[in-house]
Amino acid sequence: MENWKDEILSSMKGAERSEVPAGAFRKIEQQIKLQKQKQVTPLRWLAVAACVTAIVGGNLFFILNYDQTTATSISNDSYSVLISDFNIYSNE
Amino acid sequence: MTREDSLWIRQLIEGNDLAFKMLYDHYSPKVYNTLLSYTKNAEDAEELLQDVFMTVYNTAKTFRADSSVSTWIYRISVNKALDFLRKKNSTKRFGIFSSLYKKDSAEIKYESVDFIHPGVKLENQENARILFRVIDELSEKQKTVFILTQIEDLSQQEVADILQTTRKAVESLLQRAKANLKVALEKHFPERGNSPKNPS
Repeated sequence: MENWKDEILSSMKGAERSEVPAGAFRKIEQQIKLQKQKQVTPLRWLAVAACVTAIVGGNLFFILNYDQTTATSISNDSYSVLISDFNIYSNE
Repeated sequence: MTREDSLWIRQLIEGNDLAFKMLYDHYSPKVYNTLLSYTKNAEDAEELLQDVFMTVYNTAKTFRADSSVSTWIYRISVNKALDFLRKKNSTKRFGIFSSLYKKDSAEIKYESVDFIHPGVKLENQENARILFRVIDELSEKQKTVFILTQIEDLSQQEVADILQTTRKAVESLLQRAKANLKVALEKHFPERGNSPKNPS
């Protein structure tokens, strides 16, 4: 009585395996290659870290020395004015 | 074969790409056919096949020898296939908000499934077509057990290992799957039971 349903349920028995598409493995290899290219190696990390340290260090050095430079230049300017003033008076 | 494929895995971890090719050659037909039974579409099955072997390549280091390589690869395949179906179903559910047509073409994205497995015998093609139409009515576990035991011809113990459950549970799931499929067949194809070829 249930024959037709059992026939349908067992219709895949003895079916052959269908073939894997020919280019599938090549696509996988390409994906792996791409993945490897994107991967950041420890050496590259080291180079990036060195660059960041150099930039940050350079900026810090500039900021820390900026005040001293401006202070020196201001004091030099006032001194030169004094000298020139003195010269003007001495000529008269 | 178990010893050989364990060796391939070890060699793959050491960076031997030839071992990966050997692994692929051995398992890709099994994986592809399993994925084909889930997706009922050659393109999707190929895409998932690539996904499965990328996962094998990337996670070989995490493979634990407490299960066989075959079990491990089948488990990855089943999980990928079920994830794919879940995503597909959720996209279908929101289909009202999105186009039913593929981008840049007039081809319908969600064609009605009338899948004929390429490997099925000619005399069984019509029955197999009907089987693949009703198989979607099963739950994920029942579908997996039915595909792996009845289509992929794996033993109940192998399926139990893949699903990390007991053989008894697999047996029970298979019985329920068959019963549910019969109900679905009666519901969707009542004329088959009344045909003179198949008197019910």
